This record gives sequence, structure tokens and C-alpha cells, in this order.
Amino acid sequence: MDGLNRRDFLKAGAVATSATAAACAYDYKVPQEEVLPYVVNPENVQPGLATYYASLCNGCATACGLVARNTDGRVVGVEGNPDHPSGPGLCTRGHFDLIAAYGPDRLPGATAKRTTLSWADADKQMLDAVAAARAAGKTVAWLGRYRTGTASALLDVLAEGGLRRVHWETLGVEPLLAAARIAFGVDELPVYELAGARTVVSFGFDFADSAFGSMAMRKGFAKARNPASDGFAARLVAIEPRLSSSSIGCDDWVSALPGTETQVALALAKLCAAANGYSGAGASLLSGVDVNAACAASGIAEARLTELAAMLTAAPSVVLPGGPSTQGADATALAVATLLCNMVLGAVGTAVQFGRGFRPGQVNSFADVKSLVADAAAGKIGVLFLDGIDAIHALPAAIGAADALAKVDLVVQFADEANDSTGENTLVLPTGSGLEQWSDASVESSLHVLGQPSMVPLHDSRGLGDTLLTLAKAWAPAAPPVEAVVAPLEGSTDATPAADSTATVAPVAAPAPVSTASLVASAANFGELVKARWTALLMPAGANAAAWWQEVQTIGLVASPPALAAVSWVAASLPEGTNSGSGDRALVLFASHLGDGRWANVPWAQELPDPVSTYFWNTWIEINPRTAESLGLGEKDLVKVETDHGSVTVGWFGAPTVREDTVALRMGNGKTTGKYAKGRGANAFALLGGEVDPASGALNLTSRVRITRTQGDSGLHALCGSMNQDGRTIAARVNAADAVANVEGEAQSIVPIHHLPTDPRVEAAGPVDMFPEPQHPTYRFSMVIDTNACNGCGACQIACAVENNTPFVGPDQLRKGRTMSWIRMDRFFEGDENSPDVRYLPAICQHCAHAPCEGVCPVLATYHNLDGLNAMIYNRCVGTRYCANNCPYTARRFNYHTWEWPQSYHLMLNPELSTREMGVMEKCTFCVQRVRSVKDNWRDAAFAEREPGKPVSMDKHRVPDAALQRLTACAAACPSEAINFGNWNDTDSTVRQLGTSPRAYTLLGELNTKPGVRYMAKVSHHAPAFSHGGGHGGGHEEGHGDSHTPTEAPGGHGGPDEAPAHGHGAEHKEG
Amino acid sequence: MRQLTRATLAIVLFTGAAVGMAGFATRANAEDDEASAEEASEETFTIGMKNLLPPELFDRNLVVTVGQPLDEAIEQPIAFTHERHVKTLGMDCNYCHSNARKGVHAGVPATSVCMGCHALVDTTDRPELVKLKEYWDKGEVIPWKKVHDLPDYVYFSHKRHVVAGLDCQECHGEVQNMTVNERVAPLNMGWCLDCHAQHESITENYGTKAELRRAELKDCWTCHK
Repeated sequence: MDGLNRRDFLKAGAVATSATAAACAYDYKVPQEEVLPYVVNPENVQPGLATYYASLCNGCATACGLVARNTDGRVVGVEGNPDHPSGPGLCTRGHFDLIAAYGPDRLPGATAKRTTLSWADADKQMLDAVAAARAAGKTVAWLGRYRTGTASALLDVLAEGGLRRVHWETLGVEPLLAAARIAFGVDELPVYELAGARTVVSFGFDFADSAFGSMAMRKGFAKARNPASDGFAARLVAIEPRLSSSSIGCDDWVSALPGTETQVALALAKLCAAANGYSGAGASLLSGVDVNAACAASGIAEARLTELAAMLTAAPSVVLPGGPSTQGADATALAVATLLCNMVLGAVGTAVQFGRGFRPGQVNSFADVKSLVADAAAGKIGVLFLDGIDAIHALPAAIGAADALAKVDLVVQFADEANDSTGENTLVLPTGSGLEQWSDASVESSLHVLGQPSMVPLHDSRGLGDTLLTLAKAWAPAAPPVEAVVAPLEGSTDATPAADSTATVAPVAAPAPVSTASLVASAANFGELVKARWTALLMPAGANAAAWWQEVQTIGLVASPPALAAVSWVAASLPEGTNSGSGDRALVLFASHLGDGRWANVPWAQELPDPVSTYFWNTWIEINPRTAESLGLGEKDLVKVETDHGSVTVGWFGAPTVREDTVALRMGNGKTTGKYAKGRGANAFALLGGEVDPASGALNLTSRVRITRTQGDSGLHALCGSMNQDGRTIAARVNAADAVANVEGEAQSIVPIHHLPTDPRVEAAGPVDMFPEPQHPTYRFSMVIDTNACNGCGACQIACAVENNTPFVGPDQLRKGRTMSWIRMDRFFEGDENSPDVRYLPAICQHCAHAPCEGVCPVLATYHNLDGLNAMIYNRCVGTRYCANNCPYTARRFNYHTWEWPQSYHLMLNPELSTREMGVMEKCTFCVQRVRSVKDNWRDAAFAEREPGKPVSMDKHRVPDAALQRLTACAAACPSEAINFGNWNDTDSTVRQLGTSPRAYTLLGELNTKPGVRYMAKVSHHAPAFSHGGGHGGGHEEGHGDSHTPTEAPGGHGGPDEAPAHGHGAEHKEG
Repeated sequence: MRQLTRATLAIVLFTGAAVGMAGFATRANAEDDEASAEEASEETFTIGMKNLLPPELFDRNLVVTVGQPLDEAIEQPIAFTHERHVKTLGMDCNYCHSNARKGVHAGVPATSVCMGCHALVDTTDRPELVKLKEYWDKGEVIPWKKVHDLPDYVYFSHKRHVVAGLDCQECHGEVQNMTVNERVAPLNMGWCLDCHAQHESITENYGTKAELRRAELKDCWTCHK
């Protein structure tokens, strides 16, 4: 081949091939596609252009607002509604709810005995059964999850007519609601305003994940923890047997013997009262508290509690109640004790707010559920409506829901898919996704969220509200109840309204009594009823009804500044409740991603790695590594977990975030139905006896267990290959005092970096760049991720999957490490065994200016573009995988198969980008389709303002920072607003400010890859103070020799040419 | 351009990988780049570490072409004639294809747009209009056949091109003279890049920043999605 260069060879090859092709008369024909216009174009709909609907998230009872993006008739994306008081961001559940809307198991219509019925037949069957039950003197009952708004008002109408309502959720609010009633005599939940708290003590409250109202709380906590926001970084102290995902990043884990948390809380209250001299209401309850006994029982040193009390009383602080891991037989007592702590601390009225009417509608206790099940078992229930509760799976097996359900004449189930509770006597009425129908919710008296349909129903479903309306019309009560907007509590209303309430609040008229029953007759459907009820209850007097409704639909909510009310302590004694049970260890349940099983049939939820173990698609226990060692457990061994009520055999994970005497079991799996849920893992609820906390009737979620090693292979595989960072600085940590003292960009970096050792000869040679400096004439798109606000919840990962058509691959492929998620949630356990220091780092493509992947691609399928993006052209990729091998961040994903989107998941595909086939590499693109779209919008604006005959102004072209900050799907989803996106070239941009701040650093900066992603170190009160004595580089390489990046990062942020800090002693493990 | 036949399409398929290895290039760029460099001392821009589109090798036929072959007429459900509507009646393209200036798809008008006029047009002895009326009366969608069809991995925004001042005819041909719509352009990547590298509208629109815009327009991610 001498003298023949590569191109000539290829040219020759091409000619030869063409000759062959012609000879074969290859008949290639492009498939003929059709272009189908509308018959009548709907208003505001343009093919290929997204339409946005402000709506309501139905992922849980919290009633967050969301914005649904409808492209070509299908909702292909959801984001948090920025007009909602809890601001932008949407947690995993909101995204799961979107995916569930396209589930392949969704029923085509009303179904009984696996046969599809017409809605007329279904209604007749339902109404006949109701009539027959009432005639026979049997009860018509409702067992469902929390409901508010118009659906709840309709249920009120039905309850007036005799419907027995029970609203219950596994991760419910009964203990806290009961505690508020006992402590303050109010019938609402406290709102925890965490933004101003210097110290937060949590007794297991899952405030950043599964707790009711978590969105606002985690935002508040992220603010409190951000050293740059108010000049302090909140200290989080967790007193719980297993660190929940909310407190996993805590500064101090003061773990008490499981079941003794109430005593600890009371002792803490007493010590706080002693420290600040509190003698007000409730103080008398502390006289009988024995601090010594509490410390002895819990195993916490008294000095530690005293120190904690000193911290709490020194500055505004808040004590949070219990959560799933501490919801024992004394759950209410614990909640009351924490409220008493807040009383002593003076936090009630500021950080612990009442008067907002915060509650998820009617709340029943598990005791009510038990009595309903008992009545069903006794044959007293004629018709049972099951709303969103898979009773046979999610209720403790010990209470016998399966037998009871079989004895009900007709079970009417509101579910889109058949589940474990669907039996021979079940009529399933699919309600459709929340995105397909009208709904509304109101969990605060001053906040009403409207759910408007964002797409046409995929199947022949009918909203829950419409069925309720049908029932109400057929079954009108004699005396309609009169409803008013929940009035603020009696008492002073001069408490400070939230000063930072949103700018989009609309005035709320004085509540006028409205009878929902009177509106029922005139409403043709539920949507009309919602509108009529909202108009009657919320429209300001004299407003134009049509214009007002249009505005409400546009914003998606009606909000006014919350009115607070002062409350006074009324509890004269503390509720009783003791934990019992046999077994050598405590069992606690935790919900990660699957909830109580609600999302078990969502494959992306199954696939999302658990934030602690990074396991997937299964059930497992978390036990302390030392316990595992003492039991002699092998990595893949199975463990039999046994209580007095049942047993499960599952795999295990050695988590240093669980006490040695505690076992944590994941709930949600173990279903017997569902394409993706069936046969996965074991049902955690089989272990519960269904005991209740006597004070509130709440389900005791804890138990005592025996665990034994059994034969077999668990098949569990951790997606995160490493437990810790092996001494490197991947997820960095800085001292809180340093972080507070150095918030401005002018200061030096305070991030201690452990560099990989390099050859001294390389250092002696000074900085050498192998690659030419890329040009970034307009944009250098960059991202700054604040790991201090990240708790590994996975919202970014699931949002990314939805936005970027990332498939799920199933457990078998995942075990081979073939995850397709563009975001890898790195989790590191640092610190010692007694005080784990858990760090999360969402790892994505770093969009390096000097990208190792680009140089090795033989076909130039990946390259650096003028916007600073590391582009990936799928058509050009021939699948050598060199790039993935050469990427130091493991950011690239290879398609080992052409993954499938089973019907009807394919309808969820985002048409803005292609799906990838087998043999193609892919990775984070910084959501290039969104970048393209936003640039397009600004280009339009620039053209629109163009002066005739003159070129377009490039300044007007440039997309402003505000339009970029939450542009990518991950940034838009992050509930903690930890992810920021923007243009590094813009010196005023958020990313530039954050990325040059003292906490910022780049990943593996010593590799001189010059990433476009920067991280901000976690703030810890235990990190050693930073010493400026040693050199430290690795900060901000961007801009070296790049004439298009005008300013250098300030001192200390130099490039890798600065001496790397070898053996820097700052980042050592604490002892 | 019309000589592109099935045979060349076949070449495309068989040599796809080879083309990838060789890298795409625009022949036209070479001269233009030199010319523009002379006339203005503008900054030049390079995307990536290597020039993605080296000028020395370019054969536009070695690029996937899509849509129906150029030499085949496509039978439409209704024999619609652009000539009558545009040339005879003087209608503006935007009247029916109003989305072309607003979004990525130009779109085919909804039947209601046709009926806006045709409700008043006599259908006697005009079988095609009878067909239209039948579709309308039944509420059925008219299954038009695509004449111009880009692959799903291509991002093409009609709006961007209309706003930039391009005439529809530059890509779609003399539609006003067509009784049966035909595709006149190969719609392959090299053909797209010809304009992206040198179209006069770039200089008009971007003035001194035209070189930057030309560079941006050569970025693969401008069109590949």
C-alpha cells in the first residue's frame, strides 16, 4: 500500500463497492412515510412544538405543582412549577408518575374478571352493588390514600350519605398529626421551615424524601446548609437507628438504642430547658424526665446530649420528629417530645409553624384500617372502594387483608393496572394518569393547586373524580354538607407571613360557604365541577370569571401568603406507648424509589440504584458490616429475616449507616402481579404484625427480628464499584467554618485535593498541553453541582432518563454493568465505622476542553464544539469503545443491544433527540436539544428586533443566564437546586460565580482535562480546617491559554500547572 | 442533481462506514474559505481537535439521501396542484404552511384550512374536490404522502431558514410551477453543508460575525440530534 494514503484507499474501495452494488441491482427504497395533518387544528398546537401545561403532580399527597411538556400530543416531560411556593424541581415520584402513565400493563378500560366492560356496564355494576349493599344493611366503605380538593369534597358528600371513609398511607402522617393535636390542640401538621436553622436534630424524619411536604423542607434545608446563603452552614444531627436518605449527609449520627428515641428526645428537651432556663408551658412535663436513665437506656453519653443541647440553645434550631425508622409503638410520644423540644427552643411559631392548615385532607389511622379489614372479614362490607392502595400487598399480612377482601361483595378498585389486590370480585375502574384528567389538591389553606389534563387519555380510562361524581349523582345525601375554605386557626394572625412567598400569589377572596353537593347536579363532568367549585371558593369578588379561570390555568395554582397562628402548649401528659417484640435485632423498613410498592411496576424506578447500596430490582437488607462479619456472611449470601409474624429471605448490604443491632429492610417489592414487579424481591410487609401505636393508631413500622445465614445466591450486584474513594478526592469535603468564612470568589480555594501521584519529570517539564486549545467564542456551557445539597435522591437521574430517551436494561444486564443512565450517582462511605461520612457525587460527562475521549475516536464521532460541549454524533459512531476506555470519569455508555421501549413506553420518547441503536456510544450531552431550543428562541428574538438592512445583534443572540440556569433536565429536576447550568464565558453567570467560589473544584483536575463541570465540596462540621500551607491545584483549569475566556479564575484556582498537592494532610479520616 | 439514482443510493449504504472513516468534507468550502479570508481579516474557527470537514475530499453522493427517489412521482390521496393555488390564485406559501415560520415542521395544513375556501368552491365535475369534501365530512385525516422526508436523527428547523431569509424554492424547487409535487434536492448532508458554508444570507444576517456563524453551521450538532 506504499504511496496510497488512507483516503485514496477508501475512495478506491467506494468505487469498487459501487460497482458491486450496481451489479447486484440492489433495490433500495426509502420507506414511504405519511404526513398526517389535523382535520381541525387544535388551538395553540403546532406540530413539533411543545405546549406546556401547568398542572398538579400526583406522585404523592404533597400536591406540588408541575409543568407538563406536551409534544405532538404526548406529555414527554415534567418539571416542577416555578410559580409554586416550593419552587422549581421535581422529585423522583413526579417522574415515576409520568412513566407510569405509559405503562404497558395499563388496562384498556373498566375490567372485571379479566374482561373489559363498557363504562355503562361498569357503572351499573357498581351502582347496583352499592344499592344492594345499602338495602342489605351492609357498609359501603372507602379505603384509599390521602385525597384533598374537589375529590375529597365529593367524598364528603358521599360520606354524608353513609360512605365509610378511611384514608391511610404506609408512610403516613398520623403520629405527627396526633402529636400536634395532643401538644397544641390543633388539627393540622406543623410546617417545618428549616431555612434559618443553625442546628437541625432529626429523629428519623425523612424530610428530604418520603415525608409529606418534603419538597419545601429539603429546599429549606439546602438553604440552611449552604454557607453562602446566610452566613452559616446548618449542622444536622441524626438520632435514628438507620440514616435515612434525608440525614445520610448528617454531621453527627447520635444513634440511640432502637426504641429509646422518645426518652432521648425528652432528655434533650430537659437539657435544653436547663441550658436556656425555659420554664414556660410544657416545662412541667420535663420534671419527671430522668436524663441519666435515658442515657443509660439509649447508650448515648450524657456529655454528648449536653453538648447537643448547648448547640441547640445557642442559635435558632429545630428538632424534627420521627420517621419510618422510628415509627414504633411510641411514635406519637416521640413526636410530642420533639414538639416539646421545639417549644423549649422557642422554635414554635418560627421554624415550626402552625396556622397554615397543612394536612393531606382526611387522615385515618392504621387502627381504622384494621377495623375496616376486620369488618370486611366479618362480611359486613358490601362494597369496598380501593383507591390507590394495593391492600393485599401493602397491608401487613398479619391483619388478613387477602381473606377479608374475598368476603366483600364487590371491590371497586381505582387502579390503572391490575395489582395484587385484584381478585374475582374486583371491578377495576382505571382512573388514568393524573396527566390525563382534571384534578385539584390543597394541602394548605392558602395554597390550591389545579391539575389540568395535559394530554388525551391513552386508554379508555375515566378520572377518579368523574366516578365520584357518578356516585354522588346516584347517591345524593339528604342534607348536603356546607363547605368553606379551611379557615385559619383561632388566635392571633399577626405572626409573620413568609416574607419570601412567591411573586405570583393571587388574592384569595374571603371564604364563602359553598355546598359541593349543590354543584354536583349541574356539573356534567368532574372538570366542570372543579371549575365551579374553584370559582365559588377562590375567585376574588368582581373578577371576570373567564379571565380568572384562564389565569389560574396558566399559573396552575391559587396561592396567598400563608397566615400563621400562634399556638400554645396544652398537653398535660405525654402519650404512652412501649416497644416490644422478640428477636435479637431491631427491624426498620426503608423506602427507596419504590415507595411502599406504588412504583414497583415502573421499570425505571426498579432500575434506579438505591442511594445507599446501589442495588436495584430487588429487596435486600442493610446491616452493619460488623454484624455481617460476626454472622460470617459472604457477599452474595442470602439472609433469612424472621419476625414473630413471618419471614423473608433476601440478600444483604453492609451499610455503615445502620446500627449494629439493627436490620433495615427495603419495602416495595415482592408483588405477585405486574410485568416488571412480579417476582422481584420479597414483601417487607410480611414481617409486620400490624401492631399500632396506641396514641395515634399509627402502624408500628418497626419490629424485632432474628437473622440467620441461609444457602443460596442473592444475585445482588452493586452498581457503585467502590465503597470509598481510596484516598482520592472525588467527592470533596470542606470544613464548615472555612466554608462560612470563605464564600466569596475572591478567596482562595479551600478544597483539599489529593492528587494522583505524577512523575516528577512531568512536573519538572511544566504544563504541557497535548491538544490545541478549543475556541469558545460565544458560550462555554458549564455546570456547577453543589454536592453539599445532594442527598443522592436520584431525581436528576430519572429526569435525565425521561428527557434523553435512556432505556432501562433490566437486572441481568445491570449485573454486567451495562447501565445506560447518563448520570452515575457516586456514593462514598468515608469516615470511620462509628461516624460514617457519606458523600454523593452525581457524575456525568465532564465536557472536557481537553477530552481524552475525543483524541482516540477513529471516526471523529465525538469532538468539542464551539459551545464547549463534548458532542457525540451517533451516526458517525462505529462502536470501537475507545472513548469509553479512555474516559477517566467513566461517563460513557455503550449500547450493547438495541434496547426496546415496550408498548406503550415508546409514546413517551422525546422526539427532540434520537434513540440509539446497538453498537453506538452515548453519554450526557448537556441536553443539547434544550440548548439548541433555547438558543433558537433567543435567535428569534434577535431577528425580531433587527434593524432593517443591518446584521443581527449578537448581543441579543446570547441567551441570558436566567434562561440557562435550570435548562438541563437534571438541573430542572433537582429538588435541592444543587445543579446549575450556564455560560462560563459570562462572568456574571451563576456557574461562573459558583464555579470560582472557594468550595469549587474539578474532578481529577490533575489530569488536565479542563472539564466544563465543577463540583462544590460538601460542608461538614467535622472536616479538618483547611491549611493554606500546602499547594493545591485542580481547581479551575478553564481558560488556560484560551483567549476566549477573558478572566482567569482568582488566586488558588490556577490550572494543573500549579504544583499538585501531594500528600496533603487535610483530607484524612476522622478518628 | 437529478441524476442521483438508486445505484448511488446503494453506494451510500455500502460505503456508509467508509465515509465515516474518511470524514465528510465540503468541496465548495475550500475556495470560499480562502475568499472570505481575503476579503475580511475575520477570526477563523475550528471545531474540535481536527477539522471535522476537511475540504480536500468531498463527494456529495457518498452521503445518505432520504425521501423518495427523485425520479419517482408519488401518488397522493388527492391530486393537489401547487401550480393552481400559487401561480394561478396567487396564494402565499405561508397561508397553508403557516408553521414554516414558527416551528421545525412546515406542516401540511389541517383540512379545515382547505375547507376555509373549498366550502365555497363548486365541486361539480371536480372529483378531487369531491374527495376532499368526503374526507372533511367523515372527519378523516387526509393521508398525504411525504415528498420531503429527513431522517429521524436530523434536526431541521423550517423557522430558522425562513427567518434567515431563504426562499422556500431554494430547497423545494419551483413549487409554484408544479402540478405534481416532486423533490428536486437530494437533501443529503453534503447538499445541506453547501449552503451552511457559503450561503449569502449568512453574511447578510451576521455581518462581521458571519465567519463565526459559518463555523457554527458546520458543527455536527447543528443538525444531528
